[in-house]
Amino acid sequence: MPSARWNDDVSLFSMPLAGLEPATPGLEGRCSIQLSYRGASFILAPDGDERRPVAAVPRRYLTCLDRKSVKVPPVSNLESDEGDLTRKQRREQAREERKAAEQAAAAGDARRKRMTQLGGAVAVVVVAIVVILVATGSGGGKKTPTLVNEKGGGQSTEVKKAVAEVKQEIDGIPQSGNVLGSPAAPVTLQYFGDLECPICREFTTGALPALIQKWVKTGKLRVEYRNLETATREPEVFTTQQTDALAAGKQNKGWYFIELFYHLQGEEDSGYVTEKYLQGLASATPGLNLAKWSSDRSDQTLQAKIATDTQEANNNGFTGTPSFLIGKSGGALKKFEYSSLTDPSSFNEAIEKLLKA
Amino acid sequence: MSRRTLRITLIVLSVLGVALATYLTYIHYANIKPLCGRGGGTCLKVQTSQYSKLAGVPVALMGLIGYILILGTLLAPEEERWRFATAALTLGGFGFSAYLTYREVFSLEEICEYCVSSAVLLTVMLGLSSWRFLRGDESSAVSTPPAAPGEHAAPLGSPS
Repeated sequence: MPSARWNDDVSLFSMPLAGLEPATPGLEGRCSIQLSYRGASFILAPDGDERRPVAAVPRRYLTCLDRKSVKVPPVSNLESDEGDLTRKQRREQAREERKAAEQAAAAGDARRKRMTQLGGAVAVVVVAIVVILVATGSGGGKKTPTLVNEKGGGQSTEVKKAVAEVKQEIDGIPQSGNVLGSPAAPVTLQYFGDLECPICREFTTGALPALIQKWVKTGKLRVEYRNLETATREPEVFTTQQTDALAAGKQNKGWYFIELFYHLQGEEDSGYVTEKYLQGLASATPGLNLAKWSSDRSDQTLQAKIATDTQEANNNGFTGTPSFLIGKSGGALKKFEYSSLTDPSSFNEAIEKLLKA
Repeated sequence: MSRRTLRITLIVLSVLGVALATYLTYIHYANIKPLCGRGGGTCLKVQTSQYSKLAGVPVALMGLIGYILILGTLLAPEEERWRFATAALTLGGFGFSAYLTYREVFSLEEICEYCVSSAVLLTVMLGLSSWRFLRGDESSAVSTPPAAPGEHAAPLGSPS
């Protein structure tokens, strides 16, 4: 829009160059508003009614302007300033809106990018977990122990090795029922266990051999195995396997059976303890009379012994295995809290204390 | 929640995780019974089970390394890449913790209080770190000029 400025005597009307307003197609040959924008300046009479040019202006422009006079409403200087300010504000506002839109678009892009990155990380983690699950499968642990050599019959290499280890550990030590060690030993350690319990296995193959070597073989400690169902899921299986150990104990071979069971222990909950397995284990037990053992398995007093052990464990608040009672032989036994199942130190301290008492 | 609060909360949680994993790693290598409910039997069973190691490495040690890495990314400058590293690591920790919880419940049928505590920690941390990463550095999303050398783009404590 052209700007107009007035003073008292004459009015100076100026047109800016084309560009700020859209160019208008020419009218009447070369006479057009577009032409009037070509920087033309002219002075008008103060009355404003007769547009008389009083300054040097190209003739052809004046002709056009005379014929197509533009009525410009009188405006004050202040109004003109306000018009300029409003236009600036609009420009500023438009710039800010454009900037805000750009920021919003960029923020949206950034958020989408982050979502994609996080989604990728989720996919990687899911794949990794699936791989771990497949790799570990049902645990990757030992399955059913092989007791019989499949090729040539007889004991498997695994059983032979276990038997050798057990014989080396407890051969020559007095056994009586479920007790390992001299009946005259001054200290008694009662060991509540479940033959399928992997933590009992950890103790039996961890701290116990050192205790046997240091205290049992020297006649200072007797270890009494007692029964508490924890790891075995089926009560019938628990009763059967524990009864079988007690039945071997009736021939004073109970600790061979117990030690062999732990040494050859299979994967928990894999159902490896079957009749065939128990028979195979009994066959591997050094010096066990299988016929007598088979008949002793049905001895009801052995099952009653298991029930008694469970009751005593409950009375002592035992909920897990292995759990222990320790004290002077023939005296009251107290609960023993171990600090490690593989390091015998805490057991040694307790035994030494009882021996000194 | 301001960026500062969010970051400090995550730091506190990861320090708790480091303490927890340090204890479990210690009892693993010291062969001692963990102090937890029911005489420590259930925790011991879980800690000594076949699932307590992965490829021969104790999972307690893996947890300790993981928590330390998370803490490291939280103490790093407040930048997009570190926020992503925190989120990715907590995501990995959460996934691994989910796997261990599955093993506890369905394979061992025992629950270890320490493992559950770690699982809860990682779940909360995953939520917070994902939120922190996804919302980005809002105050400097587009037009913030690059930080001067040695200056954090969004210093700890600046309002979000």
